[in-house]
Amino acid sequence: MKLWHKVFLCTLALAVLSVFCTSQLLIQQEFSRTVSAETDRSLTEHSFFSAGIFSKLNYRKAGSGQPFLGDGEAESILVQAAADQAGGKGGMAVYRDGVRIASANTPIELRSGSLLESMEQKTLNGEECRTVIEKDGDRYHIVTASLLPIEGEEYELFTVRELTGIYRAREQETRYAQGFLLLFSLVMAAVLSLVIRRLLSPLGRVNRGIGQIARGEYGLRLQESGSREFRELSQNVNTMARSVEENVERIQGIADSRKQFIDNLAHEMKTPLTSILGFADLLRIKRTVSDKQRREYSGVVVEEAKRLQTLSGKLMELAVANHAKPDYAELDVDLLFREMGLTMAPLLARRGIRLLWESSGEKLTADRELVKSLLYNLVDNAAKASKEGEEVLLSCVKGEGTVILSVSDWGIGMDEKTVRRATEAFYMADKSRSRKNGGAGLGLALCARIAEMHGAQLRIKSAPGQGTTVFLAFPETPPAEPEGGEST
Amino acid sequence: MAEILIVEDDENIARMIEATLSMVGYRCDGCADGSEAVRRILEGSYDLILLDVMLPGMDGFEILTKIKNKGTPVIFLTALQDVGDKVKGLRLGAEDYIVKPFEAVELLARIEVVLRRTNAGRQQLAYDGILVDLQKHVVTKNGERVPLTPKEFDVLVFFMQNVDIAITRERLMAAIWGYEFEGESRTVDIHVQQVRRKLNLKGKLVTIPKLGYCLESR
Repeated sequence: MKLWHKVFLCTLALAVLSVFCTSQLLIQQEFSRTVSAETDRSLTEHSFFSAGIFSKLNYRKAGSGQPFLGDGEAESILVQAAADQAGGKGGMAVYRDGVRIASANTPIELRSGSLLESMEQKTLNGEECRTVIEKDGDRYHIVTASLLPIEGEEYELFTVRELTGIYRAREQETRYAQGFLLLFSLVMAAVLSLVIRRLLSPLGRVNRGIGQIARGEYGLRLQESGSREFRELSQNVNTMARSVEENVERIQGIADSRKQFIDNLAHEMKTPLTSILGFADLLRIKRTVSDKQRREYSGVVVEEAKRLQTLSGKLMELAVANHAKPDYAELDVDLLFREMGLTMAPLLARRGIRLLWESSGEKLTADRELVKSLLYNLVDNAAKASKEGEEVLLSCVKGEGTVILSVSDWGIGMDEKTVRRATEAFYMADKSRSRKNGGAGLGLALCARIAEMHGAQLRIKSAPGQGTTVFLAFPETPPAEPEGGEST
Repeated sequence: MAEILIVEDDENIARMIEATLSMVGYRCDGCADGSEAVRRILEGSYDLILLDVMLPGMDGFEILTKIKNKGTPVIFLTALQDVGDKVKGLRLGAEDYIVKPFEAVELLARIEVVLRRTNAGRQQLAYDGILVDLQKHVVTKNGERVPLTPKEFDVLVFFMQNVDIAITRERLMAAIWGYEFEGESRTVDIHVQQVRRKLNLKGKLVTIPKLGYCLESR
């Protein structure tokens, strides 16, 4: 059963029940009031009637001049009173010792045992009398009885009035009330179903939205409107969807970059392999190979094998950088630069490039081997970008809470797009130039990884034709835990 | 002889392919840039394009889409082994797909198949008085018809298409019997001996120890 069905049925049942009870209560109250008024009226009439009989008796006594009535006189007066009553509306009867003496308009047996038993005691003007409402078929009568003491004899006087009218009225009112109740139920049902569905409609919307999100439309956001509960629900769902989306994107990003890395690696390995295998195969299957051809073919094989060697070396470095924990030590930057100069300056000098360095006794907390590898790669890159006669500069300055190392060249530089992608694994601005220089496209990716492990910021400032400076801002205190981020 | 354009950005691979193709006498041009390749294909009249998928500027798929109307057959060369890429290339209309690295003879065999399919290949092969008509499946030596079984015919054709190239038994088996063939290399030897005997190729179709066979030009 749907929620709105439940709410609808409960509300409708409650409303109908309360209207029903109220109407019944009102009808019953009105009826009781009418019955009690009719009872009062009957009592009044009864007492009026009995007073009439007494006055007739007294009149007869006065007329005869005797203090007592003669035998049968009282009874004739009673018969006369009954005869007078016969033309009226109400009925009456008089009994003496259980024997009926006179009666008029009596529609029911008045002196039956059950009737007398069910009568209730009432008092009117100091006189005791009794009343009962008697049902006879579909007719109702109110019967009033009292004792008439006449000349030492006890007479019982009964008067009867018909009450069928008010019972009929009550039945009619009840029917009206039922009719009204039916109509009310229908109208109520219509209004309720409209109102409830309208109130619950945001629930359906939220539900559909969650369904879509669950099916993978993580970018979907719910409309944050409706009553407060629904607004909060929508907000929470949106917050959830946002975090799911971010996580999915992050994981997708990692998966994508891994796949990209593998694809690139496969390409980078297969390209030299293709040349090696192809030329080796030619040397094997050709019947005659000229000296020139042999030199050319084997030259390519050696060159491409070296390329593979570089690639595997860089991959090793990257793997080591990915898994090793930095072994932090306080390094003297002066000393570090001097060591770099010692190993690299001769290599650079062969290409006609001068390596300069400047520092003023800064101290750096970092892994010695990793930082050297970092600087080696950066200086190598700088040298590759430079022409003969140009310089490469290593320098160090102290920043706010950081030690900034930088490697500058005044070579060909890079455009903005290249700078943005420079740290991607296997990204090469100029493939043929990179290959000629024995590059594998992994140097800067390695540098970025090493920087990341040290919690250092790597920033590249470059413009085409104006050279490049790579800044490395190392924090003075290294991060407590080495960054375990995913690397590619 | 057919004219082939090699679109490949790696200089050494391009040189290797060129050396391989010129070994059997194809004329080749090289091109390392995507848009330059499109221009040259549309303007030129190449019989076949060897197209690298990963190229700077414009990738192989894009080039293929652009030159489709020209109708020049294309064989893809790629380092990617993704089945999706393979299907994509073939669906775009490539004739074949070779995954790097590849052997020289495999490349030549694939090229031969594609050229024959597109009728730009050799219809007749000649070697020292032997004439092979590829369409009629007829072999004559000095004007006299030599009867050969279909497999012997295939073996002879394969050697004549690769004169002076050493052919390994595995290569021959793959080319004639298919890669699934699980027979012994003895089968290959018997067929080669039959061809040698029927066409009197002793001293020309030579056995190279530890390698295979080679049909040598004089």
